[in-house]
Amino acid sequence: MSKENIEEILKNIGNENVPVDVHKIAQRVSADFSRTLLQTKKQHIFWEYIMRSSITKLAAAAVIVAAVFIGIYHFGSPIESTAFADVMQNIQNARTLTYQSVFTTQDQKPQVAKTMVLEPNLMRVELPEGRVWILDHGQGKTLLLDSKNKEAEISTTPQKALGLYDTFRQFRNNPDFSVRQIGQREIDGMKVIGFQLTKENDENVIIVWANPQNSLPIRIEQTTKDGDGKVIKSVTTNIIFDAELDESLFRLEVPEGYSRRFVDGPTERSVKLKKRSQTGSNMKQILLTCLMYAQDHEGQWPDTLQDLSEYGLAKDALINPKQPEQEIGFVYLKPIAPISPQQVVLYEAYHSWGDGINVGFADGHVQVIEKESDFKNQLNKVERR
Amino acid sequence: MDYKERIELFEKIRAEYSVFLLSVLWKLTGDRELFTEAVQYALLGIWQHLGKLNGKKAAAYIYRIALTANSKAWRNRIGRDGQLSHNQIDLAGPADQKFDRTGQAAKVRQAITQLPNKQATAVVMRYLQQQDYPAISEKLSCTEAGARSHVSKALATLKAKFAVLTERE
Repeated sequence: MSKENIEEILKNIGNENVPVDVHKIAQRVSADFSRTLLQTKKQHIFWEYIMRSSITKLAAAAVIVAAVFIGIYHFGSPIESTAFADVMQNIQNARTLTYQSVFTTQDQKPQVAKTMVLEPNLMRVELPEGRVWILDHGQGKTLLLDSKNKEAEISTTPQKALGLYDTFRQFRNNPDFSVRQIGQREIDGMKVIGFQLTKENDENVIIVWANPQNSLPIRIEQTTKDGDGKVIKSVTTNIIFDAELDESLFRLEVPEGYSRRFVDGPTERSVKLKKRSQTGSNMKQILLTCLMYAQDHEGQWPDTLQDLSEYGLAKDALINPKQPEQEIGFVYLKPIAPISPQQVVLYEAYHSWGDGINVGFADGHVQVIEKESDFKNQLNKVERR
Repeated sequence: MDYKERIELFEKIRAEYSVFLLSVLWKLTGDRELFTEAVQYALLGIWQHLGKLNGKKAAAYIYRIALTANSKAWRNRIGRDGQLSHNQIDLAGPADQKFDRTGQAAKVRQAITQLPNKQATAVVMRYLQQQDYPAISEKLSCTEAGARSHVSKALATLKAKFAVLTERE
């Protein structure tokens, strides 16, 4: 190939337009990065999971409301949340929950979703235009029914559903919300008391209005932003606890006459690859935080991975999705100056080698090493240093 | 500078160069996966070199950061030995399909990562940003003839690298 041909290719590259979805990728990466910088001892897994999942934004917002119910009991400082705890006392042991939410976005008509929750694992969200979304967090399965087009989509992708389920648990234990009483107002002829829930460095605001007579929440207002930065407002009413709910409503069965657009679950291999990718992503997050730490400590890396909590690294990032039972699923080798960019600093803890592990290097990149001998060679280099 | 000030400065610089990074990194990678990696590295580079990006030579540093980020993303894809990583191929589809799709442009993009910094910067300015030589010479702090020389040498190097990459196939 001649220089002129190379020049021609370069000109063509230069004339390429940036596709619209690439703009979105850049926005997402950028927003994620900023969030990593901003978060302080907080877990953003919840919002990330919800907003990144492929489910509709509307259904996602409904899940957020459900999470509020599940997690809300635990929020707040002791003084401020005493009354709030009274409100939540009623729902602590609720076995079922139903509610209706109206969602308003900047550029769409208000939409209504009806949600039913059957503890511990089942949820059904009835969406506009005859769509129904059923989740079984225990089994890690979801069913999306489109009654208009008679189509059903079953997803057995465990990551997505388990992610949501895990998110619920994390949200439940999240102590970072603060609760403030915001006075009284009248709703439908009833005097109600309001509580505002906020989180530091988080624009989402949740307001719960409750009946002071019986401490039952009767209205929840929430303002949040979707992944594209559009504001979603939701108002949840018709909140009923312990109503009789037929378990058949939560069955993950495709009704007769429906076509199945996608039924297959992921192959063992794709699950493995997905986990490998998630592991790599956690490791990148750890390394990024290490680099920030070093930046602030004259090039010194942290002594242990726990030291990164001050830099907002969520505990979950230390878990290897392949071994979720371990609190820290990685081996960290603190690099000492002079640091080589190609030096191994982090790798997956493993019992048996299998088909390879993710290995993290001092320049922040992570790669999979398939052969144990190659990995040992890399480790030997570290030891020799 | 405390942490809060650092974040404010980072956001300011990121906003200032976001269009540049989006355009240049996409043209340098031409692949969504690579692009994502490159943007991450570029943001990290900005965070690490905030001080330099707040001074007179900011424009020169941002090119360096973008080119380094691009090289790192490509290096992860192709491996340090210059060979494609089988793991990446597994995730992204068979290698032959991948390269059939991206074709010659991908080889040129890959070759750019192996250029010396000044040559790479000159190529990005000349072809990817379609700047004229007076503008390039000003940014590279050299004469116009010097800028032309960088571009010419870069094309020669790219030609040689392209041939090597083609041979490997």
